[in-house]
Amino acid sequence: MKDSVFLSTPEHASLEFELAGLGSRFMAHAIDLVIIAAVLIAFWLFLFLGPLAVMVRESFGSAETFGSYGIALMIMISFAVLWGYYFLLEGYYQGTTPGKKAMGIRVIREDGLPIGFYEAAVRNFVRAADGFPPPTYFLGGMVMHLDPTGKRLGDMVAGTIVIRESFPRTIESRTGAAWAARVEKGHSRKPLSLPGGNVTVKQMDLIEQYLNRRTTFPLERRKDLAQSMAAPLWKISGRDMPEENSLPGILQRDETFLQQLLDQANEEGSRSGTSQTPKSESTFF
Amino acid sequence: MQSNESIETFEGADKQAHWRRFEEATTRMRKRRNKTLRDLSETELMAFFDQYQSITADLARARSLGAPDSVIDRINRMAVAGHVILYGYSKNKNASSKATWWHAFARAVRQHLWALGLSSILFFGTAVVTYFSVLNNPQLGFDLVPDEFLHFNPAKEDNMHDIPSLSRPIAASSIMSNNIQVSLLAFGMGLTAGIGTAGILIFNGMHLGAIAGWFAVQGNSRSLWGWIMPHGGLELLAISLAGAAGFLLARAIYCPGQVRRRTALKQIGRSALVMEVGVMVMLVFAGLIEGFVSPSAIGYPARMAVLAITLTIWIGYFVMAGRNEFKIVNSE
Repeated sequence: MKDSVFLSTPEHASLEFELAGLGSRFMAHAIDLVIIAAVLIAFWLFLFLGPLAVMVRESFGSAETFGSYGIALMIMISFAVLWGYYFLLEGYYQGTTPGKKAMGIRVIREDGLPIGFYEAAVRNFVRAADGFPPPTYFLGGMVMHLDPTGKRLGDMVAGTIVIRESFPRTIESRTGAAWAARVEKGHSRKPLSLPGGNVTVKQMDLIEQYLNRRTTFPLERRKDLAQSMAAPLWKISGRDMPEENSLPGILQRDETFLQQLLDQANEEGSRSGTSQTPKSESTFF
Repeated sequence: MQSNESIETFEGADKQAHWRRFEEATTRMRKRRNKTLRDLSETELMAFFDQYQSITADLARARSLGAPDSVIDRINRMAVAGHVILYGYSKNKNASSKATWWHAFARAVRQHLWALGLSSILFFGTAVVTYFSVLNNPQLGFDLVPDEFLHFNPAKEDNMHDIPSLSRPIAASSIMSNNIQVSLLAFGMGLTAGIGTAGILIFNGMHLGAIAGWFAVQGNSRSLWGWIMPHGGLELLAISLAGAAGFLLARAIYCPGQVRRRTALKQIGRSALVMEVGVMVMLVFAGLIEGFVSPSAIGYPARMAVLAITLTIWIGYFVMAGRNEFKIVNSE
């Protein structure tokens, strides 16, 4: 499966969409299933124990009659909730469900536009085949693995893809303004020269990506990443690396260092202000 | 040097302001969904389009200059928002579509009669073959007939399953949801190039034929058909149609025509979905009859009448609904 897809618009702009991975889609589904279960249990409790139930039971004459119709209603509503949950929510909220929102993913049409009730209906009614043999999702899972854009069977008929829409961005990019100037002027970022050697443009980009997404990693992993990026740079920086032993200490030392390098590189590329970057939108539609 | 720098700063700030304005505009506009573009005046619309075009140009420039991901991501989001506003909500619904939505099912069935034919042959064909096999060789019944029917002794001639009236709502709703589940599976399994759909049809046909054959051997045919008749016409037709919806999808895989298989699938998807939704509606009716009418004590002629009436209504619907309109569309 590819990481992202590019869609060409009629203006020949190519829009990039990051594809959602199997993991986040599975987690979103798991969250939705928990919600469905909670809704059904709440409904059953309400139906048989709620104040309305007592009233209805009395007016029905016999508890058996009420029980019989109650169970029938329960079967039908459970079925409707199971099959209608995804269809209605994805149709109404343009491709998201609470589970998908929690994982920051969304269903969109292949042409980049939001989905409607038609696409939601097709991709979710075909779910019966994707989930075959129940409850394994074997067929759909295999197809998702083999398809370059991670489609399950339902996505193929509906013409939809599932994209990663947002990741938690607690730290705003401080380079937006500098880059706005560079995009305007046609300058690109230059390698940063340090006493012991150069930091390449690719390395700078990597550092920036790391700093923007660092809060999404578990602490241990975050320390390892920061350390593996900072260690060779400390050597060529001509500065002494302060000794740190604790995890927060190492993290603090290396991330501050990386941020300084990045600021330095951006200063050299363009001296325009580095503030003022508004918080970018975290959803597409 | 000094002057050069100040120009760069100025232009950078200007671009920033431009981007921010566009972001604000799209955030404001997408809240209004369908009305977004219609609310704009001509000059506003042109201005918005110009802004959008300069954003897409910025995106291309940022990419080719190797701007950091955060910047590309931001411009990409702006471009997506603009794209969605310009192209996303422009579906113009023509007035006639509202009046004819309920014709769609009948029209889809008429257009793809071959699919109904194929699935009927598989379903009823298997049933007939199994029926005569069991009739000629009753030993087969022990292999094919499900346990609950094997030693079943009907209580009354007209009323095979004497479901107590209290349990009827439960029977109706569980039959309904079970049948709809099967129909959804038959529909979706069309994507296994029809193999799964064919399997479901053959399996269910075998079931039906084996039970009918077994009851015939036992001399209980009349009570079986008496039970099946009121709801059977609708239910069996609906299962065949669900298979037909699956075969529509399968056809896009076998013979996509002049387009790629993926495109063919998307194109046929609409008809297949309409058919499947129609099948679900039919199965709701069938389930109600099966839960309330079939187990009741009404006599043989009444049962036949229910069968005749339901079939006439539905076949009439399939033959008649939306026919004139189709001619008008064709002649235009």
